[in-house]
Amino acid sequence: MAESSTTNVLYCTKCNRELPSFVFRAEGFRPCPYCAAKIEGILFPAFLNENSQYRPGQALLIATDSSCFYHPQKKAEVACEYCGRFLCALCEVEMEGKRLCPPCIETGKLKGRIKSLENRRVLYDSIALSLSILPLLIFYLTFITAPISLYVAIRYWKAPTSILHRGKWRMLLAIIFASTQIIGWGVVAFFLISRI
Amino acid sequence: MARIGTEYVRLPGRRYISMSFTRNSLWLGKDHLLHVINRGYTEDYRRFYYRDIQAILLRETPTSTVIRMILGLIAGLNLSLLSMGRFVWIWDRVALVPLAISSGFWVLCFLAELAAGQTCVCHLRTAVQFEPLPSLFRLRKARRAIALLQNRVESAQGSLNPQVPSS
Repeated sequence: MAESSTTNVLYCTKCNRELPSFVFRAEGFRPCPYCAAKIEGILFPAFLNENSQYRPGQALLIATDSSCFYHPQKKAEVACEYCGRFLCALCEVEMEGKRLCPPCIETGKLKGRIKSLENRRVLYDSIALSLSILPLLIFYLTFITAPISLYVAIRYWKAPTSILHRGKWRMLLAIIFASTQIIGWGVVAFFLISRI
Repeated sequence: MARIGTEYVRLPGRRYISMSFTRNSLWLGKDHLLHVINRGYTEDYRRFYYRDIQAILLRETPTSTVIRMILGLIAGLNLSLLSMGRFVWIWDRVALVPLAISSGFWVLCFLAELAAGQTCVCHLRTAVQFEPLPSLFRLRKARRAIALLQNRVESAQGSLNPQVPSS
């Protein structure tokens, strides 16, 4: 097991003071010696060897060796699986089972090719459903919101929804409600026109 | 090909924070823990890779005790008012019905709070982060969730030698 480094400390989540190891070493809650808050720590091996994965990259020994595209003095170890550039250990980043270079990761993030870099999604299905249901409280608003809801549902039908599987039922409900409201307004308009 | 999203397994615990209008939940992925912050019309994601998780800290909080005291007090007041109205002041039954419904509601709230158990605060530590996990708000659910998470983390990192160096 690796030696403990100075960063291998835990702090009380109430008083922010450094916890002695006996507090988080034992199972179950132990009181913080400073504020008496009951604390339990669950530790994993990464807690003890956090610097073990640092790889600075190997220097070139022979001038004819393949070198890293970004660090010509470092020896190339892998090729980027997107652009094919040679990379040293310092530049190589493993992402979703692929070895990539930082610019390809940046491009992948911008183009949405790397799912694990996505950190926000707009829930168009919820927007469409809310637009078709909430305005019913003030029903005459549906004259405006129902077409908007229908537009959002159709325009963003193929847009990715939550990263967690949600299905298309919100979109379907939005289309049904919005269409019903539009038909309702059509009937009202027809009735009013026919009376004039 | 697996559909997007189907690879996530939900962990126990969910919390709605009314101040920020957010719903927090945790999901176990293939190689990471996903913290989903739902803001109604957008979702924010934070990923904690199993190989990077160093520790989880749990702290018991007195919130549940305070909530129980408040709910117990309100339920007790309602029940005592109901019994006084029924046996001392001899109120009409029609007047007692709303009071009985109100008492029943508060007693149910009190019992639900008792059943939910002790509250806690949970934090996750990596080499560069110390993130709160608001969805693990109840101790019982937090323990269940941590047990599931621990399996995944230990299968990625191996299990920890019980000997932890003293600080």
